[in-house]
Amino acid sequence: MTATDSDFLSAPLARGRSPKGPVTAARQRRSWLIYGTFWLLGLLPAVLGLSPAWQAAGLGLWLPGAGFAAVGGWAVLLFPLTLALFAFSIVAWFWAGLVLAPVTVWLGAAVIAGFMADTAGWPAGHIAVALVMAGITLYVRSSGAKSLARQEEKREARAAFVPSSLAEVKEQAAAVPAADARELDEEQLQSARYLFDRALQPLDQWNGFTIIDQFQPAALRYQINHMGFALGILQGAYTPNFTGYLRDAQRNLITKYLDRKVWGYWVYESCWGHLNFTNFDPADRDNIMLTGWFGMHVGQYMLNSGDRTYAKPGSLTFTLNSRTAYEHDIHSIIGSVASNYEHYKSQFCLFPCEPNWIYPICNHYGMSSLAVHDRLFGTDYTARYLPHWLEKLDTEFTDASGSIIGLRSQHTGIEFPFPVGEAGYATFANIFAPERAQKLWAVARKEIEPALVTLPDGSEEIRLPGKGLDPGNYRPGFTGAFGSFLTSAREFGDERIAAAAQNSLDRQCGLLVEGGVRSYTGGSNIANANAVMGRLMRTGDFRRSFVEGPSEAALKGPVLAEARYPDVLVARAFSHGDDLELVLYPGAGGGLQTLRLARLEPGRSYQVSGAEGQSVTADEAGEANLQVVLKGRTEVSLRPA
Amino acid sequence: MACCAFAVFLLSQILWPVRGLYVRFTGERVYQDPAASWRPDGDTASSAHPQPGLPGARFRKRVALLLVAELSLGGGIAGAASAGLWPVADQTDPSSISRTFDALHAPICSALGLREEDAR
Repeated sequence: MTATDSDFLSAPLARGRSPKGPVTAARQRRSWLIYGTFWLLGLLPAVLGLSPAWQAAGLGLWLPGAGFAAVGGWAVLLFPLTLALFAFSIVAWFWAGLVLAPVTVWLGAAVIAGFMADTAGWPAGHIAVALVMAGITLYVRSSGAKSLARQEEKREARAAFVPSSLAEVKEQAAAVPAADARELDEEQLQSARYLFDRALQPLDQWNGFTIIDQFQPAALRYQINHMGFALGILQGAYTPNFTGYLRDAQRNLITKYLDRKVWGYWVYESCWGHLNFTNFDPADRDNIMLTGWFGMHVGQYMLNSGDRTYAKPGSLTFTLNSRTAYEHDIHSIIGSVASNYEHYKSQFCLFPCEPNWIYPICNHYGMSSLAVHDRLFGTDYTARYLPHWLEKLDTEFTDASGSIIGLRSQHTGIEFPFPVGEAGYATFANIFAPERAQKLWAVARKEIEPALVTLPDGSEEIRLPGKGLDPGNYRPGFTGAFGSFLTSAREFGDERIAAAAQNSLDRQCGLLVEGGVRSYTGGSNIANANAVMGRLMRTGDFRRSFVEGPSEAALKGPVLAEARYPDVLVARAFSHGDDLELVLYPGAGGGLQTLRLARLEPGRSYQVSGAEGQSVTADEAGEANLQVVLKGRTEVSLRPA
Repeated sequence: MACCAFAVFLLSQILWPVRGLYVRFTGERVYQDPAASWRPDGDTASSAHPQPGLPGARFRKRVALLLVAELSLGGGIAGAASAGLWPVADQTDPSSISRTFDALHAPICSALGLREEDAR
């Protein structure tokens, strides 16, 4: 059994009774050792009969704010307040890599308690804190044991249904659409316009983007990447022979990404997370949430457009100020992912986004970026790193049910909940480990099934409990969840779940079709971008856009190089090598439009149908203009005379 | 105010933001994301405008100033009262505000053993 074919459901069993991988266990042991040392240091003042101030400060090392229990009186209330503040500091650490926040709160509270304790205080303080610690320990162990039991039960249930589900997945995933017959329908064009409207505005404008913070899922960088993914699929699957405003939109998104507004969060995280106050290069150490995601995005664009601009040195430069700029290109961005995997291979291998925090989903983006680089430039990154990466994913980041653990602290080894779900991982895994991906989807589709509701008209929707959470704007809502189900279902050819997800989006998420643009007003910008991608996708599109791309013939053939947006909407632009097939729609009114064609053979005549005139001759530059009357669905074709 | 005034103040600092979060996340209004509604030629809110339900920068600044003022004023007064720097309730004046406040929290603080004067 190869690494790519490994059965993640058996990975927990392979670890025996221990629910932890060896690196995780070692990191947690180290954390306990450090805590134990602090506990003993904290006990010393009481044992040695030192002053109340030292005893309070020492007690403060047992738990955040525990020293206030030794102070006594009303100050005891500062103990739970400090615990709450400590919880907030952990959130700050997770949110933005503020590694000093929890340390400052814990030790700071101990110091303050020491200064406040000038009398004997509360004699039972140590006992009270010890009881609180015992209570916390019992609760953690009890909930941990219950969680482990639930996970083991879940694994057994999965092992029972996965074989039959997998057989269905394999059958559905095998039905891929013909590459030379793809055409966008009107609803897909309306959805695509949502992306074009945002990507074609001036580079310094951010209308239609969600702007809240730049640290977590609502950050601009994630919106840009996912908008890019959707346009990359549109380019490769439907319009490989359209450059024009499609290329402008994609390049605009890449250029916007280099704006300090987008990547400047790394300056702060370098300071307060790595304690690095001099080098803010975002493609150096960690930060896979930039290098992996952006590497995927730019690589996909290059593969599907044939544009190799971003292979040139300095083509992706992050400018900090007038004195400092970090020059990169596709090789160094993705090279950073590879070098970090090399650096961390004896540890978790998977490496952090924010300092200390390892997200397996972001590492799926990272591995996908290696895959697209291999496809573009013939490198062997995935061959070098994937087997060991998968082994670490299975041993260090898989729980007893076989699910991937969403978030782990690199320093302490402690895991934290971060919901992604098998469906989310499956879509990305399909790029570099398609058999594993099919197994993930085989699990996900069965676990989504209970949420499918059949309506009186026979259609299905997904009904989820509660109010949901859109990670793209931190508001209640299911647009993000439905979009994720839709993209995954489309990727694996599951028409039933795809239809249910599409119905759920259209009926539950504030569908708005206005001015020829389709959007979901109940969802964030990134949720909408994913919904667009899901509407555009068919079986295997996501994977193909990163590891195959259009045919060589298409990438060499004539292109539609210029058309006015939104007057001309391009539903199909395909070449077999020397011809061009276009399907166009009017986006604003209709009537006569001028199209510019390029990559023609200079001086050659072409027969034209669907446009004014019956033939056209390419000029010295291999270009020509066509006049087309757009009325509804308009077919235009060009063939060598 | 005296004795446990600071304790009450501390508790209010915990409960107030929790309540605010609770109201925000369990509100019944249907949220419409203005980023999703934006059109290049329409008049819907752009990202430069405050998003409904998400306070704009000016509002957040005002809330922050309010919070700082409340922490300073409330916390300062409460702390001073508990440290005995604030005049205790005038028990001979029925209209005294401080007597009213004292009457409000005295039973609770006495039950918790936080009023030394009741213990004597």
